[in-house]
Amino acid sequence: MFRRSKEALIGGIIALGILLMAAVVTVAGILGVRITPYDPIQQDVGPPLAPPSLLHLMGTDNLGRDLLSRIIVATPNDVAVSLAVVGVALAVGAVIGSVAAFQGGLLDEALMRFTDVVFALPALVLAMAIGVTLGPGVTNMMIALMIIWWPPYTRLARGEALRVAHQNYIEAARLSGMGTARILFKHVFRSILVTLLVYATLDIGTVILVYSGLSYLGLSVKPPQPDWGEMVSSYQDYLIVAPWLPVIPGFIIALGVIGFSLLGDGIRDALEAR
Amino acid sequence: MAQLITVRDLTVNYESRGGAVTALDRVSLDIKENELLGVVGESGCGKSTLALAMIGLLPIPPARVQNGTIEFKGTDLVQLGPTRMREYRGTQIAMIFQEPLSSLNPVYKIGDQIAEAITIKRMREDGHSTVDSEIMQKTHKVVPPGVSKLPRAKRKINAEIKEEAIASLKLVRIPDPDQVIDRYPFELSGGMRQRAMIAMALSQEPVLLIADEPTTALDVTTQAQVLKLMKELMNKVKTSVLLITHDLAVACQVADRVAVMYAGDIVETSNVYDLFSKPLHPYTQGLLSCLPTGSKRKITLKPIPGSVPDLRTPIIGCKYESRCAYAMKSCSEKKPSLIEVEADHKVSCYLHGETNGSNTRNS
Amino acid sequence: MEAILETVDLKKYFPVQRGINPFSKTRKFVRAVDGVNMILWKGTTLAVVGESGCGKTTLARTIALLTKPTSGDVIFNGKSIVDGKTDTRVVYRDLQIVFQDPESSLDPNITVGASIGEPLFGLMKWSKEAVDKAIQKSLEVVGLPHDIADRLPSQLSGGQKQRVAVARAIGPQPKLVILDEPTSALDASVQAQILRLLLELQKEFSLSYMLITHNIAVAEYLSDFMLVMYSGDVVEYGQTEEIMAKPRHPYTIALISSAPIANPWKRNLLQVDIRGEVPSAINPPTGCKFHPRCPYAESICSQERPKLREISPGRLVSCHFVEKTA
Repeated sequence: MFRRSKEALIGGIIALGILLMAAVVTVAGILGVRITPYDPIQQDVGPPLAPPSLLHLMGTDNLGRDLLSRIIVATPNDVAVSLAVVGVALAVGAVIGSVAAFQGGLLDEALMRFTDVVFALPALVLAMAIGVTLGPGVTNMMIALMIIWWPPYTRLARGEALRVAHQNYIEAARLSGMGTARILFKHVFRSILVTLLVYATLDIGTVILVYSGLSYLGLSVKPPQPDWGEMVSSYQDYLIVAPWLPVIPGFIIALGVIGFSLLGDGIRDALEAR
Repeated sequence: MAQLITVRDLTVNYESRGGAVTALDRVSLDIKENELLGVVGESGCGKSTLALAMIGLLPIPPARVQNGTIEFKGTDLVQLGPTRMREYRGTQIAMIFQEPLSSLNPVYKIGDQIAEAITIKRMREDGHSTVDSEIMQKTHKVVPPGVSKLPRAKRKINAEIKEEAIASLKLVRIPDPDQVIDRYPFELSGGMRQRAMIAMALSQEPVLLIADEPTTALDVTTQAQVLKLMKELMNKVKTSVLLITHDLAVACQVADRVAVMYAGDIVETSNVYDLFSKPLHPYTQGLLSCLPTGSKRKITLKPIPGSVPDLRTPIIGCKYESRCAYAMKSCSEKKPSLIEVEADHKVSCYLHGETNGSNTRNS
Repeated sequence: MEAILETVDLKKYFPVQRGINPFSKTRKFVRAVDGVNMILWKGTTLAVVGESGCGKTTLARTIALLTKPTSGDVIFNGKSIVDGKTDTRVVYRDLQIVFQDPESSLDPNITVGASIGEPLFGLMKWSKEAVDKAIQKSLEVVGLPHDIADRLPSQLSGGQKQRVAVARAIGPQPKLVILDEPTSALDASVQAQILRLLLELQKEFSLSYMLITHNIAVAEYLSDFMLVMYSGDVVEYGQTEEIMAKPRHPYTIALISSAPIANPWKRNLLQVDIRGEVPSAINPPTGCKFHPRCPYAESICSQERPKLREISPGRLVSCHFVEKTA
């Protein structure tokens, strides 16, 4: 796969790097080990608003905190949220879509109209509303996004499942005594998984972007916890005097989005070529 | 009967991911005037490639004409570029395909599509080049350029062309042609669509009609109607027909001569009666004896052992050798050439009239 | 002779929806199977022949309980199986289907062996070892090598895939196998191999076959009895050899004379005289559905639907004027 697409290779490396970083930070957090050069929430580890230097590779912020350490520690937030949201959306979409396709009739209509309604709701506004109701926090934002993220997967799954439903091997499975649920698990999900996975990989980048937006609005972490989107928001006033402060977190967000998107493109191209 | 089109040593390769495939391997055949030549073979034998090559519709790339000539009225069609080929395609050589739903434009009415064909013919008769039809296609008004734009003149031409379109639908026995003119392809049945395609193809009065599996997607009774129609029209319009089919029975029913293809080669050509009563090539014999022609109590089917070879690995010698009950040493060394063994009966086999290296006849 | 399968006035209608309102009262139906009475004798092959829209595929699927009949009865192995109380798993141990298209009858994501084993796991409650042995035996019986069980369908040829489909169908040792156009998608030489295989298996395992096909030559070769369908109705039934020698229903005459014979001296095709097209299944002609195309039709044919009558022992025809074709 990577032979055919340099972009996919680059994307893959970036994505893998970010995933690895998230894993390492999470494990370190559980073990209570500090892996960053400085304590990310400790103030005055260096002079405030210091530009990037050998001591502080990404400089320091207005409270003298090391930016690099904050960036590193914030990695699991975006990664966990995007993986969880996409994972749940894929699972929910696969189930609802294939059940709708296979049962047909009134159930199909009802499920798909319900999907359309959820789809029509504006994602960001709804997330904000949920945020206000549940209160801010990474987990709460994750839940908010999970509630609204699944409709495209349902549409996709239903389309694929409809195509599969007319294949003779599904009827042969019925002649083998299998009920609808078992047929869905054994035959349908496998066939639709490829299509859904491709879409999901491309989607991770989008979730990162939306979540960063939400955390920019102050809906996710509570200070002094670091988070990429939150950093862009709280440092934006320093754009002129200390540009590295808002730009670097913004760039990292963009890197994450690009990395996963390129990876998703590569996977899709590789699978389509088969 | 005079020769209409002569194919000599045509070799066509396809580039695929597994390697280059020789779809046609030094294929030679003739089509005479006013005859129906049936090209019979199983999937992958190259018959569709042959049809596309003759009408200049090969997808190049991945296809490539490696070698060979297709001589038609003194011109080698292989050497013609796409622009010049357009002078012939649709006008002198027409083609109909297996699935009429995908060869008729679904968003234009049947009448408009036939009228377009008629207009091109009129333009050609008037001396315009067919490139002008592009302008016509853009506006989709059935008025040849150069004709006065006066509304009355336009309406007269339109009315004439409409009459011709209705007449051509009558020719193919479509019921209620004046209503069908205003219908869209999806409103017609498969058989009617195929007739409409034949009407379009024949409205150009081509000298050669290539039909690629024209009845495979049709019901049995509809197939009989369409084949009967093709035979009748052939005689009326004085066209030759190249009929591509996998069904040897269909060829037996309508063809004057038959060419049998296997894995990119023509292995036998003959008039249809000799092919049936005296099949010379072991593959032809095998094909005939594996057709069910009666009850299981009366006949025994003799399937051909093995399967068609993978054309991605080049084969030296006769391609049928691995399945042939009569295979000899020469068969795996060099491919036998197509030789006329009896009057109008050619075969490519060392069993008949070909020795390795020379052209002497065996007894 | 004992009957293994019978249908009594079997009907399958599909409602046609008008517009986008899913709650609208649908009053139009596609009458796919419009009152079919048929019988399949044990150990024989019945060919159900007809063209597109005649209902033969729907008939097979209704008999196999893949779709619920609108009305009528299906009696298999002496018991009615459409009473709603029958466990389909018990039925499927004795009734299996070989499908038409080798491309779509095997799941492309699972191995060939897994496909063959699926009915065995689902219906027979055997241990894994017993199933594995049965898979090997099935492969042997259809003439495929043992190691093919670990391959994916994409690695097999069309003929091999069809053999796998046959292996899967005979694994549970059924009594009746429905063959739905088993060779229509295959080349002539492969078709011959599969037909010969089917004959051998029938002899070896005393199978009864219901052969659905539009190919008259295959029907003539393989079957003992023939059921001719037109637009959801049975128009003729009898012994295949008798029907082929002397078809009596005007549609059967047209159908058989349209089948191309591989013999240039017998150019039947150019003598065929049939007009018109297969009628709409939603708005069929009144009375006898064939009457608009029938050369012998008279006024009663457009008013009254003919019934299946026995015109000679074992020969049934549904026509008001069958004596005209004697």
